[in-house]
Amino acid sequence: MPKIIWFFLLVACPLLVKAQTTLEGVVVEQTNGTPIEGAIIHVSDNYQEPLGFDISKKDGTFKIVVQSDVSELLVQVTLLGHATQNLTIENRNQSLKVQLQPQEIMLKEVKITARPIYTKKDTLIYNVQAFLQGQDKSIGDVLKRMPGIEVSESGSIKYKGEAINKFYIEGLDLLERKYGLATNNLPADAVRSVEVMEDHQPLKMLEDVSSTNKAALNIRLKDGKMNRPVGNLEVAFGGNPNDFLWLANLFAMHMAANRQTLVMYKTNNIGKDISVELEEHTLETLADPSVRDLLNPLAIRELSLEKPRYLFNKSHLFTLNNLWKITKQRQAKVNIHYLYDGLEEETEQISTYYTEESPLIIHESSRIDQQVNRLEATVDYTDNADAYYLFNQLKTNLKWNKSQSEVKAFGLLNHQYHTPQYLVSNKLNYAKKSNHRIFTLNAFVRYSSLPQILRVNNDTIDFENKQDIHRTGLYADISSDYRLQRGFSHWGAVLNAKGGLDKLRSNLEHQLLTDSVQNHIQNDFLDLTLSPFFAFDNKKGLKVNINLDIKQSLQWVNDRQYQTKKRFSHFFLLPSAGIRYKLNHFWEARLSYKHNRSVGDLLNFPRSVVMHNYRLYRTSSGVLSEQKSHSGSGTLNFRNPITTLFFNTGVILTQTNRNLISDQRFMNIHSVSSNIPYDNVMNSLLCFAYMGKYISSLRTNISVNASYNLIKAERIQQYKKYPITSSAWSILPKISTKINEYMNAQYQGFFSKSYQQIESSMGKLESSTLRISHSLQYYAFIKKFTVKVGGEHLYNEITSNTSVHVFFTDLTLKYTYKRAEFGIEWNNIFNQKTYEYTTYNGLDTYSFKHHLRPMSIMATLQISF
Amino acid sequence: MKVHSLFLLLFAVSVAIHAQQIAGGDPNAKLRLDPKEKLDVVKAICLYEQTVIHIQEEDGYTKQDQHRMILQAGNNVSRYVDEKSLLFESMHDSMVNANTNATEAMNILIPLKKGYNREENYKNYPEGSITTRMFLKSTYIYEEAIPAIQWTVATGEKEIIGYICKKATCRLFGRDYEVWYSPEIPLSNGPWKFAGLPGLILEAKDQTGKVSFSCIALEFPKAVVDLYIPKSTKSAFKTKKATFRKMEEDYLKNPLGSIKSSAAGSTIKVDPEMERRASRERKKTFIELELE
Repeated sequence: MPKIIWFFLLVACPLLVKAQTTLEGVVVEQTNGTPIEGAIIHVSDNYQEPLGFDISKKDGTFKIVVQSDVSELLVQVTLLGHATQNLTIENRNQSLKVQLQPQEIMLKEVKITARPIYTKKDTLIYNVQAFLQGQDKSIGDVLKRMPGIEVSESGSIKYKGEAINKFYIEGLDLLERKYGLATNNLPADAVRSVEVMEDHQPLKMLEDVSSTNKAALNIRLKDGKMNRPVGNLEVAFGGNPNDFLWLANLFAMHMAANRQTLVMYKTNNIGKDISVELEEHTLETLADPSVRDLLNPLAIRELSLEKPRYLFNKSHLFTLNNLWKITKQRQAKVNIHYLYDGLEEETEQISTYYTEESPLIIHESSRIDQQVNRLEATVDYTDNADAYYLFNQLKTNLKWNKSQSEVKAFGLLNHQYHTPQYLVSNKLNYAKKSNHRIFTLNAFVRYSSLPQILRVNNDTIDFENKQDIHRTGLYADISSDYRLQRGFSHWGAVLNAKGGLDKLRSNLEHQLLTDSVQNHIQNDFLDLTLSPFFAFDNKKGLKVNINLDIKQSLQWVNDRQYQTKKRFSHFFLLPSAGIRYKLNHFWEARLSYKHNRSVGDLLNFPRSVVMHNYRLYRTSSGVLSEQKSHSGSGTLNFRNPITTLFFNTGVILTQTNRNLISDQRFMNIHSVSSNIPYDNVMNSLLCFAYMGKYISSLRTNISVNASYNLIKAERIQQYKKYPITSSAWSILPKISTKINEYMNAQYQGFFSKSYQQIESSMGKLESSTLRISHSLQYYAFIKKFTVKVGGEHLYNEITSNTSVHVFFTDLTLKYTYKRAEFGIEWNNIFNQKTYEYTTYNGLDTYSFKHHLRPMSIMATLQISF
Repeated sequence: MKVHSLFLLLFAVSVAIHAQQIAGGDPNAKLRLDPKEKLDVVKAICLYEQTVIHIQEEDGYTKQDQHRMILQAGNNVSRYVDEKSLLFESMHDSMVNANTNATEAMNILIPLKKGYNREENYKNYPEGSITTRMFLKSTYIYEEAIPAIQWTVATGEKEIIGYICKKATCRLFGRDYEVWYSPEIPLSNGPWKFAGLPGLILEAKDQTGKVSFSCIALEFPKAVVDLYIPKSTKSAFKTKKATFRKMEEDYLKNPLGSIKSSAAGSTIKVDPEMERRASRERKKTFIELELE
């Protein structure tokens, strides 16, 4: 538009301006004169042409400026629920008072349609499709993403921070505590939904009586995945300069309404530890008490490195699980697991034992060849009726482990260990309800037999040293409990009886030792415990727990070798208490105290020597060990989600009084260790702190863990008593950053320094070691490709003036195509060959040099069916 | 599909719960009444379908969030809240009256809220302000002044759910909206933070088409219905809008970031691939609604 026209318009405008009228006023209720807020005042001319509007304020006032030349104005005052007022007024400045009268709303309605809501009574249903992502393999991968559910690397599941109490597939408990087999292997795309049954009570008879406060998980399969085999197959081949490498995993299952079968076979020699698949996870039932080996074989050591860096293995795992549903409430089950783990290790070791004359230093290089054979079979029967519950499980757990080790020290020493364990157990859970009373009985009975043998051959002397040791035991544990709740308080009591018949025989055939080489001991025991407890939770942040164990412990020891009989009786009162207070949403404090007293078992009594390797022998003083401890802890937590700052710190103090002290004597290179009567005290202190902060501008998360611990104890070595102080601090920083949508990087560091101080008659002896490690991982996601690059640097101080550096680099490339995934892994690119580190154990120092797995390249393929 | 009044439904649900009288369980663990503050009495209930589309800048990944939001308009104060939240609250109350066992009740209640819009607004509470309540791991509350919307009344008429509507336009929080209001409904209110026209706003659409609110139902309750705000002030963080929005943006862009820093034991291992997917799956309604 030409400028001239603009000019014309500007000049002409004032001429076009219409008369201006200001209407002011107030809208009030006709009945009582109270001002009305929100009324709409609408002004128009005779032709219904709108001229202006206003909404009345809180005090009922309004103000409208009208620009019009008309003589009369129409004012309409409306408000929902009131009769509309129509006024015709003169077009002049004026003040109005409008009175509105309430009136029923006569407007037409459009009804709101309610959406159907699907909820099952007490079950939360997660639709797997909603959480499933293209590259998810096992159901565990999907579970990780469901809000409220946590999955650990071994496959154990927590819901809202608490371990689940049952893991079902299609409502049936096929795997029990070994449910990790399913979380880690069951194909994600076979699952339709995951149901979380909160407050799950597995016992039907208790359903409307008591709740468990725990949740159960149920996996529902897609219709198309029922009544047919479903599974996946993964194969990988590759090599390193010395070996051909393989990995093969086959998982298959067949699920039907009345029968379930799950089969899996896994094998590899690339350092993946498949024994973790058989790990037992926490459920509502307690794990069976563990059984320890009698001999300490020279076995594969765990390093502070990931297993595929150092584990030389040939592993096979086979598992077969079958369940039959006999009737609606009865079922039977058979589970068989077999594991073979062939492991090898090459190490060089320097052991330094402190004595006042001169330290004893032993150089050894060893080659260990260990074979783990494990067969576990269980047969169960469950009758989950409305009025009673019966569960019986018969279990055999057989291990026949062998280990052969060659130690080059003073000549070539060959060790052959046979450390089998044969266990047969039966577990019975029975509950019956009648007239609102509930009777429960949990009984566990186990027979164990451990006939273990060690043979030591020396290449220079034609004599075989042989240690035979055999322990047999019968163990029973019966318990029952009662609880009550009133308002914010719970109280109740648990009654428990444990008993056992324990027998040990040992015999040593030794070239030099001919005396005191046999043991024959019978030890029977009975522990009765009544544990009343009280808990208070006011639901506003204060929680208190008080527990008292009243324990009577009886023991009868018959040493047939030395012809002595003893009877021990102990009565203990063991209180413990805890308090948690939540000050506000930022701060929370906890305090706890526990007193514990315990006595030893059969292994306190063998007074004759037992050989554990060519230079280590153990005996006992024949005195029952007694231990008394007090421990207290306090923690303080701070969380501020607005500033994303999290902080916590705490301290734990423990004092332990013992009647036996550890004693070590040397004869030449041979050592005899035992626990001898001498009252001593051990004090320990642990302090820790954590701080985490998310820095949004850098999309970076920073956290630091720091800890300090101090232990003061005493030990006897070569007839002399030494007070020992050991302390260590460590700092663990972590940084993880999201560079952009397609790139992630993570850094983790570890700094630790430990100090040892020994007070001897020659003065104080001090030593220290430093360990530092850094690891950096980088991920990139480009369409169907995933790239992962990792680097790790470790620095270990071996002695005060020697140290080592190790560098690891790995590269992984993956490509996904439909239901198959192809990958290439290149590990230990710099081909690091050894890893060295030093550890302290009071007066003794051990330095190790381990051989590592060399550089390797693998090609992988995974297919699901 | 059968058409019910929302109130009939709520009534029916509460009757069903009374009738059920869930037996057994721990008799002492009862559901407790959530404290509430009565702000007003509901005069009109309007149901809006709120749609927000967000498109990932990097790769064009598109995600659409749709919620059914209810505007409860009172004499002075109004509440804009997800239908699911209202249903949850009223069922919760009727369960309290029915003395339902707490855990049992939560098992029914929690799934009701699945996928609900975590933001709700209270217009003119306190006077002259909008209070926003938002659940993001915890409840946050912030206040802001009612935006002084500069309305431009435009020509144009159309019918929405049987009401003649007039057109107006405005700019609000960085988006240009075309709005349809009905002078036939004398309520100067509208969905979300919209208000100030001589009639109820029944539709609002932004020019990019990414954000829209459209009315699908309207009711005028015959019985007295209270308009209230849940008074969870004890467990809610009071904050400022700017602080909250920054935190929200951080959380939505990198949801696991802040979780990781809260994991004191630092045992949580997060697969970066999972993390990336989790973050793009997040609902970004709140961010998308207000650009400035």
